[in-house]
Amino acid sequence: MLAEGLNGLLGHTALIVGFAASLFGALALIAAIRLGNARLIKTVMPYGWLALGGAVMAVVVMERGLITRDWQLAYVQRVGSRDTPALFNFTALWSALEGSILLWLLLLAVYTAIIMHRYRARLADPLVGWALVVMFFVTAFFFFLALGPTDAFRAGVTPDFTACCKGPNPLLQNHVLVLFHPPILYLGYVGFTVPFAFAIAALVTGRVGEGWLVETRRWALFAWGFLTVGIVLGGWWSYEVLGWGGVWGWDPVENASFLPWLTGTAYIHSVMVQERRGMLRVWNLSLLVATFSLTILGTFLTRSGVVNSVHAFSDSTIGPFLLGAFGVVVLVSLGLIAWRGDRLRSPGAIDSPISREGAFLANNVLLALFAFVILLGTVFPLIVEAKDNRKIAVGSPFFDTMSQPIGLVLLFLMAVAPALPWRKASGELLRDRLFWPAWCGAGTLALSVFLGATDLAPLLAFTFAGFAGGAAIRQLVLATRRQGYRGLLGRTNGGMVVHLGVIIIAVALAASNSYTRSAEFTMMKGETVSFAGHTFKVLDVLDFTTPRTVGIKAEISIDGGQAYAPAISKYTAFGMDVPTPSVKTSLVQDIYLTLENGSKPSTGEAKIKVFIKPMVVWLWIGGTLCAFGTLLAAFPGKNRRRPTDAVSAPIPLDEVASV
Amino acid sequence: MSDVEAVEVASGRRPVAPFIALAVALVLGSLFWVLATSKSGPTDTLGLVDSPLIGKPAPAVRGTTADGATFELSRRKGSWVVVNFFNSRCVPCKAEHPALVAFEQQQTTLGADGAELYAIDQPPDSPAEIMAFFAERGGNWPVVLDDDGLFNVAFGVAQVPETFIIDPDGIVRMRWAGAIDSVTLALLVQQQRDIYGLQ
Repeated sequence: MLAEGLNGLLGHTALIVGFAASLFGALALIAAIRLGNARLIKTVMPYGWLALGGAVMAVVVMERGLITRDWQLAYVQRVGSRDTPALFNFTALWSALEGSILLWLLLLAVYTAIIMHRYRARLADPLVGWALVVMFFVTAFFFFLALGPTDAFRAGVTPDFTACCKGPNPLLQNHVLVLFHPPILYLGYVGFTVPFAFAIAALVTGRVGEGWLVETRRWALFAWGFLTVGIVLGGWWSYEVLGWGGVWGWDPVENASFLPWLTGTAYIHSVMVQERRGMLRVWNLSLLVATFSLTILGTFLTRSGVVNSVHAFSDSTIGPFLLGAFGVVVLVSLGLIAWRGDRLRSPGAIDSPISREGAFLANNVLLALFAFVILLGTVFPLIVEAKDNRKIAVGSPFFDTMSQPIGLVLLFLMAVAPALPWRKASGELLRDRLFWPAWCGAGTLALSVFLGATDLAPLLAFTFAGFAGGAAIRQLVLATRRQGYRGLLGRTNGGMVVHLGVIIIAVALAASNSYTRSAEFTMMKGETVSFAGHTFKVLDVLDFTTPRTVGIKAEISIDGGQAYAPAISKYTAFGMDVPTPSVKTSLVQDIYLTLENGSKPSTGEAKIKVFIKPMVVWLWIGGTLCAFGTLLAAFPGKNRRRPTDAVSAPIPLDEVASV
Repeated sequence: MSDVEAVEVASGRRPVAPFIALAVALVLGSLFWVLATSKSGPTDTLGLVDSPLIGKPAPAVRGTTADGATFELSRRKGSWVVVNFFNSRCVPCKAEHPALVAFEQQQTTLGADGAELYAIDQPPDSPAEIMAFFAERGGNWPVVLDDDGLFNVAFGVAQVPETFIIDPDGIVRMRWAGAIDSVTLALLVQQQRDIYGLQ
């Protein structure tokens, strides 16, 4: 073991200071709230800044260690190398467990500091105070993880350069998306801590009003937007790097990001029912608790080694701590709900299932069911193993079979719900409002059949997508006709833009999953084959050598045009083969080429696999639209309600009785 | 947490939240128990790792060795076989090589009980490069050229070096990812031999 170097010392110090500061911040705040002590409140802010400083310092020191190749740090030995390119050396911070906890910690500390700064005048308000207490505790927990179980600043043994210091996993050093996908996904994960903290604060203080909701709805939206973009970027990375031609494989890590997305999506819908009608209060709290605990549970599942996953980090001692945290979060939240739940219960009831709130309720039940199914599929192998002591695997067939019908019904709801008025709908009104959307659906069906689409599931998906798209566009057209460009702003209208993005993603998924054609060819240099209306000519098969890799690539001209060069690179430091697909993208279809094992430059023989995947590029366009829509939704719309507005205040009992 | 309907429909003001919370707690408690007691399997990327092949017959693949002979795995039944995937340019493979040399010598001393060692070479190596590799580093065991990637695909190897242990019935017993040392490899083979002897 090497002696602790400067970076190790600075890093540990930063983490200890941060841990102590967040813990003291939490305790001081609790004491201040209990005693009503205004002077004590004043001491809280410095603790928050100190915690932020600790987290920033830890990350900066680790990056410094990576950039200066400080081999005294065990972590740098593990993910650093002498010749990693600067970009991937920078992203190496989050290429293994310890560093990714540091990134998580940094984002958490930033969120905590922003909340503290934003509500600095209201820290004495118990709702804000308790929310900040929760955030401080969560931050302290992550400081603790970074100090103990996943100590990134541990001193390494004397490096043996034949075995160590190979750089990050080759899969994490050949595409620029590695720079964006993890931080954006983490911004989403960590962002849900804010509404969770306010939900807990609402339970602790027993504030029955909708005040905490109004405070946090934009935070939830913000986190949701980042989570969505992060998930889409993950799919893109998988498509560009892994070479299997797909974007989503129902891997436990992917499921771990999808679970909070589902409950988060349920929340941003059902919260509107609460704001509008004061109902579903306990449910909304539960959704936020579920979202936050699912991020912790997902992190546990994928970081503790209990489930096999292609991107799980190797075994570590973090498992029991994360599981313990999950247990504490669930136990405390359930205890609070059991204690306060009845007091929070709303006096109202849903008048008619054919109403906006009825549709939101159906949407929530479906999304919760979806999340349950995914969670069950993910942990089912563990349940079977615990019971029968045998190993099973739950793979794509299960998840595909379950998600298809749920997805279709959700699409249908997206078509109908925007047309439904609050409280109760009349048949005549619905006929009027659904007229154009229904024709859009029918038109899409006719167009898909005309273009040669077959099979029930994708045809249903296209029809419902057309229907839902028509409904969203109708709403946007009506709003912009009334208010000009401002008709795109606000939650309802921005939400419709997000709907359009989600619909486009659904269509692209249905089309690319159902109508992918693929074939494998063994060809000699100069040979041409035809497949699916395209010609593929092998121009050359080449060996290539870079400082870190040796490999083979084939240059293939598609339809006589530009050469595409799928390759297989062997990272010599790892002995690991990494395929590099080459993709010709168009709005209609992607032509995805991979080079297979068995290609021989010496004889000019190339084994290539061709995937023709329709509409893949629309996945990324849909993702962009979701991000854009979220941004629009975050702007205050025309009908913004303030917490003091009559409709936002809790409905008094006598008023309900008269309804 | 399907307490929506319950909460919304309940018109009276009976306390229901504690009961629903208790039910949810029971469900999550059992999930917690399952998770807490589940063993974290060998998911490490290096060392002893899981493979769908373990306990199953080794894939019946055939190839050509560097000196031109035909190699067929299924014809090696009756002996313990150690299959090592490597490439002459891969850094960990170079580091591992002396261990394999030592292992091979140690197994030779066991006579007929000793395991046979075969190397599967992953492209882009040429026979000349393999000769040079062995000439420089010692060792003399058959090297199968996996130019068509058949072994590679059949064994699911994406990263070399990797080592498989196959018993005399042709059943895959163990998979080791990454470089192995001679003592560990000899111990693992002996351990499997003992288990096999008990059957």
